Amino acid sequence: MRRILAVAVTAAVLVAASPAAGAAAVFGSFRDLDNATREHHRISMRLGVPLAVVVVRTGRGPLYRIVSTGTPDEAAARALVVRAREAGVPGAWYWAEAPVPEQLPEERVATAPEDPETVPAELEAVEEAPDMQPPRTAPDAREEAVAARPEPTEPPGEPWIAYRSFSGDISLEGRWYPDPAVHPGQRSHASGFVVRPELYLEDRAGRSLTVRPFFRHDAADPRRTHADLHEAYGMAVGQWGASEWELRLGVDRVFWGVTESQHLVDIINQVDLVEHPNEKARLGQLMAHVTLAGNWGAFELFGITGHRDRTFSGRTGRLRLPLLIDRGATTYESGAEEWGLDVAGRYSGTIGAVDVGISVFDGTSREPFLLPAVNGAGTPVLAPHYRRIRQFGLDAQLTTGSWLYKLEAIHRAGAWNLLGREEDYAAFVAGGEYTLYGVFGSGADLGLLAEWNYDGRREWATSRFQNDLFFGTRLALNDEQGTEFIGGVLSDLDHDSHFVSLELSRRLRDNWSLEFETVVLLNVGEADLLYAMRRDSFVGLDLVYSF
Amino acid sequence: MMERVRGRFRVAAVVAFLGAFPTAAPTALAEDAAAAEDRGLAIARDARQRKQGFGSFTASQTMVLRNRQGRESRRHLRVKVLEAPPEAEGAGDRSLFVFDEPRDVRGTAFLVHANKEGADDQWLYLPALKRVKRINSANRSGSFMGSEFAYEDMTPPEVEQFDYRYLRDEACGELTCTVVERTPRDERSGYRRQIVWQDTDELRLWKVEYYDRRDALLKTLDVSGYARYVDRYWHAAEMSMVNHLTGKSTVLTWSDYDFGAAVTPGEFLPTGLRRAR
Repeated sequence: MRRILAVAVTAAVLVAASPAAGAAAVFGSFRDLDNATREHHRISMRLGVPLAVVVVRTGRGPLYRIVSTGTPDEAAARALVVRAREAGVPGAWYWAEAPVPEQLPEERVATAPEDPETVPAELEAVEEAPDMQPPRTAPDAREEAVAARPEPTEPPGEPWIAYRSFSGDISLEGRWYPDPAVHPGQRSHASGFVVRPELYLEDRAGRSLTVRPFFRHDAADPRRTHADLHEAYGMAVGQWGASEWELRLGVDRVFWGVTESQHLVDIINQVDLVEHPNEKARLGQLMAHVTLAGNWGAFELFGITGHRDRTFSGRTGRLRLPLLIDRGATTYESGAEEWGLDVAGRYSGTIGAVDVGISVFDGTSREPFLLPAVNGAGTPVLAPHYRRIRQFGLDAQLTTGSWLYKLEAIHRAGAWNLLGREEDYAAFVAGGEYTLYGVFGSGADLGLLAEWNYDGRREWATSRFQNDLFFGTRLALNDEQGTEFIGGVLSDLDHDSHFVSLELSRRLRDNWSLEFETVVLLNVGEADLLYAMRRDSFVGLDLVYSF
Repeated sequence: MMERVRGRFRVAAVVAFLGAFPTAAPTALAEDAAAAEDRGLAIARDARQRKQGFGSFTASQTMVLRNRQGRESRRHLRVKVLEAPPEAEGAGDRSLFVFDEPRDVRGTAFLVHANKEGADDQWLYLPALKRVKRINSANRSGSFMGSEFAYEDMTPPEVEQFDYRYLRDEACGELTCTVVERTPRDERSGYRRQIVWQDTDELRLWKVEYYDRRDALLKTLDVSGYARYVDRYWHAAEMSMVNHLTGKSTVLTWSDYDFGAAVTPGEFLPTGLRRAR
């Protein structure tokens, strides 16, 4: 039963093969003939050698394999494999017992090999095509034939989409604030639900479209009920010499950085502050994003527009200032307002145990300065004002043994300090993480973290991380439920206040998981930026269904 | 199961002891030891060589985790492997794992750049934050996704990562197996040693016994369902890992093998991790 024979479907592309075995280089295997044909053409052009597509019948249907035709022996085939890899065809491999493409049609007699032991187990007999033509070996003739081949037409019922997926999660969330409210109208809970679906489509050339909307409903605060397009971008990828380029166009989220207590260098996306006071949730951002990556690292360039307003709690919501923020009164330093062009660039690379990122951002700041104003009804409000800034960023991590050493630093020019005066400043987060593996005689891992946050403006800093020490712990049980505990205390060294955060997550059963969280604000004094939120400690419970 | 395996080992050790001691002079013993190491290394090199030249492959993995009470949970992931170019010095294969199940970690991806000597380079991609995180490779002995497979069991071992000692040939089913002891050079490995059974015909791996740092039998791996791909690469369909200390087990089933799959080197870079699917 184990016989081999290749079938010629298209004269020049898909050549006949005899059962005789020979040496060949293989450049790729495809389930889809169109893909094989396209790759055949591309690789043949790149290497400048004649190639053929042979079909091998496997247990899971035909497999179209791009092989060399001009490699009479092992040495020649292996040399071509090496050449191909150097030329950016990494998947090339040496096939010792390749079916040899026939030179004459008369010799294309379908016979099983005498000795089944010498035959690849994967290959089975296939029917010989009646209209087989002699393959041509001259490269010119081959290219001509390939070019003359009609464009593959879409088989009926088979769309352009080669791969699609629909996934996401829905969660029921409840948050309770046990302390009485500071500001009038504030509710003592924030319950609701979150929907986060994701649709991904990929065509046969590997181009893709990702759409990921976000919606939160909050029963207590209409301002916290919000929708956002986290992602909606098209992506294409290709080779450029030994490097690879990637282009993303549309709305996307980009993360830079290494530290845990604060994401200091991360600047591309606006903070979705109503989501969580830890400032880590982000809104989608419209941009063009080009990446060029290789073993040397990656260089990325961003062109960004459509500045997003930071989100803030409404009158009935907790975690807000005494005055409400009127996003309708937002002003910009830039004359183009939110449609000004922001540009950013980043180099990231790995040098042994060190991962480094160097970034620059020039554009409208994501951080608003809140100006006192009066709204149409004559009520005092705060109006966000966004300055033009230039920020240089550095993030680095040294990974060694059980230790991770982390550093994030920025220099920002053009921003206003707490007094509303322009002040250039530097800020950093530096620290480390030590992990104990297999603690308590179990498979659990215990991580211990310490980070120091510093902002050169100190008392006039607009960030609450102006001189704060963070101690944290991360316990991963590595069990079937993926149980994880994360706890941390961010202590303000200038004001003696503490921001305590505890998170516990556990998978319940297959698609269901449970997340418990508490944030406790301790000893928040009048001088602290969090003073208006001093009684907004909370406990939260989320039930998440993932699909 | 545990008792049976241990019992047989004890017998084998006694036989080896009786066979060697009364006749061999100390120098002969040393020579024998060197010869056993040499032969063990040669087998490892041979086995490695037989696996080389594939260029790349992709496959799917399904894990069924079973606890002592028999409760099961499932993992599904896809694997891509890019072979180290022949001229690469010190660099090993690159492996990419993308998780489909459990659903709450869907889209999480794990990238490993193996190094022939020293620790591997590893990155994790967290889709919720779109964050690529370089992670510590000191967790080699840690559980992979709560399964009985450790991280160090999940990527193809490099020859240089172990010291070897040939033990014996013995029957394994209808085949003859060569039995080699290999000792991890990396002190962060969770194992003191491993005993490996490979058949003499094709050097396919059939069984591994893992001994923990205290030299107690920790886990046994049984491999089955071998098929040959692209006429030369033998790959198993099922790998069953039993933990003798906890009574838990994991059955890892491989499917959708595609040798020489169309992958690009960029997929195996930290930046490529961001679009891993």
